[in-house]
Amino acid sequence: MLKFSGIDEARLKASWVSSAEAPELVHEFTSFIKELRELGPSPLRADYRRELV
Amino acid sequence: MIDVIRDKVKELLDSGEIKGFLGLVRKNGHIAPHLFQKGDDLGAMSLGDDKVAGDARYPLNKFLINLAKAYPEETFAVLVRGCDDRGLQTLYTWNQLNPKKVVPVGITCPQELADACECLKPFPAVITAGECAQPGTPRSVAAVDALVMSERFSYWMDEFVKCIKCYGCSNVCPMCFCNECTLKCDDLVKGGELPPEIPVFHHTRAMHMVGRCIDCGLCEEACPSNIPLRTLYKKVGSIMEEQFDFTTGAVRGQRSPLNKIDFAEGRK
Ligand code: SF4
Ligand code: SF4
Repeated sequence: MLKFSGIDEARLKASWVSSAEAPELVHEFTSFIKELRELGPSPLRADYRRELV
Repeated sequence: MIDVIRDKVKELLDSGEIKGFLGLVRKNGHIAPHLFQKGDDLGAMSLGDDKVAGDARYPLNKFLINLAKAYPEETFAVLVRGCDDRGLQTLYTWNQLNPKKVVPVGITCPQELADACECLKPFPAVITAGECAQPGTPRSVAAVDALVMSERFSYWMDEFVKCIKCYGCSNVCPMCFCNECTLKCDDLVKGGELPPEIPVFHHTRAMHMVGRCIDCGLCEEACPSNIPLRTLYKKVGSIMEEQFDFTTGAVRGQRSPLNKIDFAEGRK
């Protein structure tokens, strides 16, 4: 669906990590944050309402 | 076609097999849903063709759910097109209607409507009246797929930004039957903003239509902002087809892969 809407799929990530696996969880977070930083700011942050004047 | 339907309905009502027939009536210049009961005049009955074929369709199954709740012992007949029939099959699998209490009265859609809807099956499983049209050719999803990512993004954002959060799309949807709606939950979709958070609002609805949307197109017709909602849900449907070989409502008694509990052997 993201791809169909023109949004980079790499911006969404689902991982299954048990609560007993703290190091894995930390690894998932840090690596995903790194990936997101590389992708840059999200296009969804902009205001898509049109200029009024 | 309508005479065949009138005769069928009269027969069902006279025999006492059904308590009422949920169909359409032409009254005061408008076509509207109506429950016909024994002894009623069937003369003003309509099949939903006002100026062009099928331009006055309603989510009759949605009203049928309410009727069934109020009169659980009674059996009702309902007017169904191909999409409504897929809807009935799906509502049975989600336990919203009891197939033993529903008598579908099926009509086919003409070719022009099938083409406009890009409908893959413009007729119900059991046809009371009408000739089967050819399936429509899918175009709308392919047209978006043909765009590059940045064009897709601006296409959808320009559409979604028009949303006035009227909830017409979910109010009209025959497959929207939850009592509590995610789209009305402040923690999930922030309230008090127009347009509602985009694309979250529309993507949430799209995800919730997985295994439910029967591609009737009523949402897109109802949307006052003309947002091509159906294209979005058609895409959802095509993903279900590719990934799970599942078309919502197409096969009698088949549950959506998301609505399936495979009990371990031996368990009742
Ligand atoms: S086409 Fe729209 S109104 Fe019809 S079932 Fe799908 S989401 Fe609901
Ligand atoms: S019907 Fe259209 S305008 Fe109304 S809430 Fe749905 S998408 Fe938004």
